[in-house]
Amino acid sequence: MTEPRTIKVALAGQPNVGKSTVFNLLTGLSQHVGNWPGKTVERKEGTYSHNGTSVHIVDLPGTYSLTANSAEEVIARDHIIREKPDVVVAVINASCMERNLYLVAELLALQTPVIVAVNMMDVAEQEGLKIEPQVLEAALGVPVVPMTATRNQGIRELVEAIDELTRDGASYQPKRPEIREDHREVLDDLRDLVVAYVPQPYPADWVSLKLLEGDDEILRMMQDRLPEDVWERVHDILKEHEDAVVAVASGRYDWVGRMTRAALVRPGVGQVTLTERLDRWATHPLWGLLVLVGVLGLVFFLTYSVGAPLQGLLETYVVEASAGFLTVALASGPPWLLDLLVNGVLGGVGTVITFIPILIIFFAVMGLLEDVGYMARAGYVMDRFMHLMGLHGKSFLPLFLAFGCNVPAVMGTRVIDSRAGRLLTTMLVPLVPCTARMMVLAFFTPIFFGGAAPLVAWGLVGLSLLVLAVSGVVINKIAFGGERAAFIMELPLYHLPNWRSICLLIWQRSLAFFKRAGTVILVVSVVLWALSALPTGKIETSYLAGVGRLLAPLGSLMGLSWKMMVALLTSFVAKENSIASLGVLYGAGGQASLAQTLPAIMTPAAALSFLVVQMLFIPCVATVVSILHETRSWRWTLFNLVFLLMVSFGVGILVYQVAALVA
Amino acid sequence: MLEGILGVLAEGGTVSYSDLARALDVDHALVRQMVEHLATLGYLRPVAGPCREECRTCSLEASCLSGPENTWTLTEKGRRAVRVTGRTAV
Repeated sequence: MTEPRTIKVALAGQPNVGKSTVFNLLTGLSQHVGNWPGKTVERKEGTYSHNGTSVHIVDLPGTYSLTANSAEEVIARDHIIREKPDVVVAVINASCMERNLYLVAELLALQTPVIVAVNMMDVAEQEGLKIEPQVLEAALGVPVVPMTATRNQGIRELVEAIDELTRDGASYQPKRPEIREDHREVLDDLRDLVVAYVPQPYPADWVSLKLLEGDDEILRMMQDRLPEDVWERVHDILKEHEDAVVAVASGRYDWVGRMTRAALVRPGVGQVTLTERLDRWATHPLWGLLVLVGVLGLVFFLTYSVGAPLQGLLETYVVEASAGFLTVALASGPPWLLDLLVNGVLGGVGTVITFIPILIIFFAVMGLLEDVGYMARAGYVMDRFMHLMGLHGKSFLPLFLAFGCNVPAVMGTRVIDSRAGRLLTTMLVPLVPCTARMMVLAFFTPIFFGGAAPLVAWGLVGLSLLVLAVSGVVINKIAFGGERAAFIMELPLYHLPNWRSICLLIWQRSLAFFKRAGTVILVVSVVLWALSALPTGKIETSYLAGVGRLLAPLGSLMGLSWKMMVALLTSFVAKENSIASLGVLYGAGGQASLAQTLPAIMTPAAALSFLVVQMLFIPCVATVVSILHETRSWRWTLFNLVFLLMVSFGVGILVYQVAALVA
Repeated sequence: MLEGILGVLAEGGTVSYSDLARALDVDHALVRQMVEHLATLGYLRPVAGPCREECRTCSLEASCLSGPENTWTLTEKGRRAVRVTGRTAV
């Protein structure tokens, strides 16, 4: 009586491809579970009989490749090389064939015959993928068995395929991936050098390939075995071709690409997903830009049409009511205390706080755009413009956030990787008109320009952005040598918004804003109030006025009085302070009368230059503190201030002189 | 294939996974795998995404604009390879 034929099979595959299910179906109850020698990795073995053959199966640990990256990968490849199974069954997931075929490419480099079990065919089918096993078999040159192990489909065929391949190996003609053409000679040279020293049972071709890939374990093994002179030559070759690993992996990916193109049909060619359809517009070089402009327009429209009336209400019912209450409550107290609380604290912090509705709406719309996945597209579309300034599209995101408030924008520059890019973006953030500046703009333009106000306002916003772009190009060229970085960006799929996360985002950003208003802005408001009140108690004779008068000669170049210059200075605390300052300095006592006073004493040219300087002026103190905090550099912070002073006054003078000439 | 990705990066600028998939005539999933592989090999590194180191100390981390998308850039090793690849491949 003859001994029954015994064969050894190894099951290989990535994690989560249903390998265990296949193993269980093949072996049933005849399983043995232990550990791999010296490792804590589980080792499962089992047997089954078919056609008088006893088949011993070892379930290899799930691995993504056969490089010595992990204990599992070393176990898998060592088992195949040393234990020499008769067949390796590579279980792959039909719904992500590309990812799985890379492992098959590595398995084929070993000498053991491979059968590819394409599992989870049902999942692939649900996803609309059409896999043609016969075509894949012809392309691979190895048996391919389509399976759905969870439904016990394809197991019998797999058993047959194993039996057939182990009985007749002659038909096994695998089409193995090849190393990229420009490295084939190097691989041959390496093989010639090491072939005589490769220990059994390692295949010399595979060892040479792994050496070229820089596989640590194989490098150590060969270094121990090669004579010193040969090792030095090998070492020199590897050093000279340190990027050969890319050529090896590339060869495999080329092969994977060919296989999938041959055997995999994606859901009806031409039929695209919602994301792809939307992205045709949203990421198009021209349409994408128009979509972005439209989205920005909508953001501003919603912010101001809904937020501005609410801001007015807060102004009336919180700031003015508080001022009224304080006036009554402190009527018998020292006048300076009332002045400090009303003009210093309420004038500074109170006014800033009234902007909360505008910020909340802005954050809400921005959060919505982020959450549905649009913001990544906005960055992508803006990228080409950002690159003119040597910046990545990611710089657009903090710059866009700056429209709300410059402070979080400066903090937001952390999303930019390079220090150069981060610094440059930080320097440019103050040139983005924040909501406070927009409010100043919205307040002054109708006073000065009547019906032409919207045109002038948008022109000034455009001017700010133009100055931003030009400054970016210049600073980048001078300071950073026009460095151009490269990025790969994964655009997330569009999805429905999650309102909870949007609310959380609004809450967190508003909280950060409140904290700043209650700390930095409060302190500086009080200090500036003191400067405007000391030593005489009147602003006209205060230290602040003294500083203002020093600036008068500069102001005259722009047609601005010292009071206008002081108003600009106080905007350092918070942009909207310039409105309050002018009210106090011109003794107008309210917006209505200021609206009457200003046009009478200022020419349109001077008014225009005032607004230009206001738009391009140094940012508020909170932003400056943030810049210092983020750059951790006094030098860069001071540079930013000097740069913005020069730009704002330079453009202001130019605009005034040209406008005066034209008028 | 991988040199194709490095070659595109050699030209500078930002590319999306879809751009790369079109340029290399492969599926999105394979691009993702190759990009991750290049990162494992030390040619690329993540600059944004949920696990980014620099964001841990940022007060805006919880409401960050960088979003969940993955952005990768070249490492020094990658830049060296690009200088070679940029001339020879693609």
